[in-house]
Amino acid sequence: METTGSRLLLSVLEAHGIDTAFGYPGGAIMPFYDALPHGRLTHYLVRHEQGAAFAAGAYARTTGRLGVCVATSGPGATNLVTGLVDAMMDSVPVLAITGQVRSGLMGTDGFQEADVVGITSPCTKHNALVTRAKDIPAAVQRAIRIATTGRPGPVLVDVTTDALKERITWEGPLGPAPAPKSKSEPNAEAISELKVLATEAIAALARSERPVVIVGGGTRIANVIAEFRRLAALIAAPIVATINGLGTPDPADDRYLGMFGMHGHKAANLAVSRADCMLALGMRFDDRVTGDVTKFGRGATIIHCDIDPTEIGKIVKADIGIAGDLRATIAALTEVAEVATMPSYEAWLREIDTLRRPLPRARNEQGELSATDVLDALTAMMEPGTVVATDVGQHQMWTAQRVRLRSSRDFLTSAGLGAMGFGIPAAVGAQIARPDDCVVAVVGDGGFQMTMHELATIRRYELPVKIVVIDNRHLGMVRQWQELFYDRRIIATDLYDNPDFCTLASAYGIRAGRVERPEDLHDALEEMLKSDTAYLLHCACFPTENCFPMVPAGQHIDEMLERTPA
Amino acid sequence: MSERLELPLRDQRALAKVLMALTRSGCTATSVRANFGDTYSAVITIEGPPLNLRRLSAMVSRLISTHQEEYR
Repeated sequence: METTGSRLLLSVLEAHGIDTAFGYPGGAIMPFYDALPHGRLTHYLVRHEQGAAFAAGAYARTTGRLGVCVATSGPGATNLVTGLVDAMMDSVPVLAITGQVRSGLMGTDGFQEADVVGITSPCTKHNALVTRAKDIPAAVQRAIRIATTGRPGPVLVDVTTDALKERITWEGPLGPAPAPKSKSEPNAEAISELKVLATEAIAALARSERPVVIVGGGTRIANVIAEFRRLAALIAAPIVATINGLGTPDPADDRYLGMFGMHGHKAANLAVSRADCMLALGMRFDDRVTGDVTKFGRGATIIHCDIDPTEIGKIVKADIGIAGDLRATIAALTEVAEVATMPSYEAWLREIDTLRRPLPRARNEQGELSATDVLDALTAMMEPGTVVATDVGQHQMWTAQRVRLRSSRDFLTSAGLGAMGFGIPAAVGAQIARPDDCVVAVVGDGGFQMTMHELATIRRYELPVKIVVIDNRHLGMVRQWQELFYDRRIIATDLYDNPDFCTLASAYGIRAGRVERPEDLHDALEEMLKSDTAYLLHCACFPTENCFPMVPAGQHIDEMLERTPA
Repeated sequence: MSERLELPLRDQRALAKVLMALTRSGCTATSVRANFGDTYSAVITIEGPPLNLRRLSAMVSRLISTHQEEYR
């Protein structure tokens, strides 16, 4: 067929089933935008490229499909970087397409020229520069395959303007290309080894007296919620989750103790610290969950299952390491557990029950609204299946501690990178991906102001996103650290001069309400949740509430602060 | 205690990525042997504490798709 590089690029995306992209046009990528009317790709115009990358990541997190973002050369591409690093850290499949200056201009410090492949090399699973139209299909096919297979991650294809404009005749394939032979492909030897390891793992659990099952984000990526819950019922041990694992365990399961780690539930942290055997599924022992790694899991048998073999033993030494797709691993573990005689762990479960504590809450003498009141009420009032996107900071941890999820695809948060500004664009991506579901963005006053321009995107596409701004007039988590660990020297964290968020929302054509008294909270949340259109609820909270429990950085996870020291 | 890792690489970009990853690994490249012929191949030798080498290996495996496709 007679075509151009741009139309070919569009055709390849469509042949891979991609129908949605988030982007922002500019000079070098203009030929691609010019081709959009000739294809079926729905493009969502954001107001900053970082929003495109976050929205694409959220689209991927909440659907399991590839998220796509588009930007121009130079600043357009560099603005994607935070979103790409976020996707890299949380293993999210995202394809970034960037325009590049024409080939002849590359290396001359041309207008809007940047070494995008160089800049994004450490934060993508794969990237490629394409300077000829005929190379576009293979480059994009390969990028998509790499992004979506094995441990997912972001990829970037940088295409020069001349390649996008070039007219060519193309008769080659457009759709997914077969992957090269990989050692990860199941074969008889690997299946046999998996059975042996699964048997060893279940035997170790059966021998143990105080086991814990740790659920990570890999369970979301592998889509194994039902499979995990079946395995968990067979093992019948206490369960804890990392922040990315939230939603995989059944919140109604008595043995589920919630999130563990720096702001984990007390019982969850103590269970992990006292465990004599851990079954870790699809997690990477981030420092926010291990605390002092030299003390983590001391004396415990650690069974670590992850698709990425290099994660096993990277941080915590595994006694039994099972590298491979979690679906196959859980199936093998289940098969063994079904016929094994598992202990009831009665004494251990009784001990765990004595460790459970309600989450700490704070009140101030003036009776002002507390952030935890808001999040307690919100999480109780949300319908099952509500998608929750958070920003980063105290509100993120308070939400993670409280939210009861039907699925791990219902919780979107920048976990590994901790990128402020994630919440609003993530809610945009999620609402576009799941138009029939309620999407709630919980954001702080700091993070909201990093990407609040995406209110324009919400308005333009009439997305009924509900936004809860937890406004404590501070960068709350940093202020908390200053109070606890920097002798109360509160520096550069005071946001006393925040704008009027309701007026701001109104300026974007978005309904808004404000609540500042606890007695008005229920009605305010109800009005927001029943709104058919986008709605911003400004929650004016008192500024000194801290997020507890908290394990000070570098401490063992059983060394939790539960209140502000006198 | 220092250990040694020999990493075979099949393209020049992979070598660049490994060298870049060294900055945050606490490891040192002690030699690079590259062959430029019809096909490119190189072997980079890296030394460092065992834990750092493990972490570098994890970083590299994510950064180098060809490596990852072959070894994942």
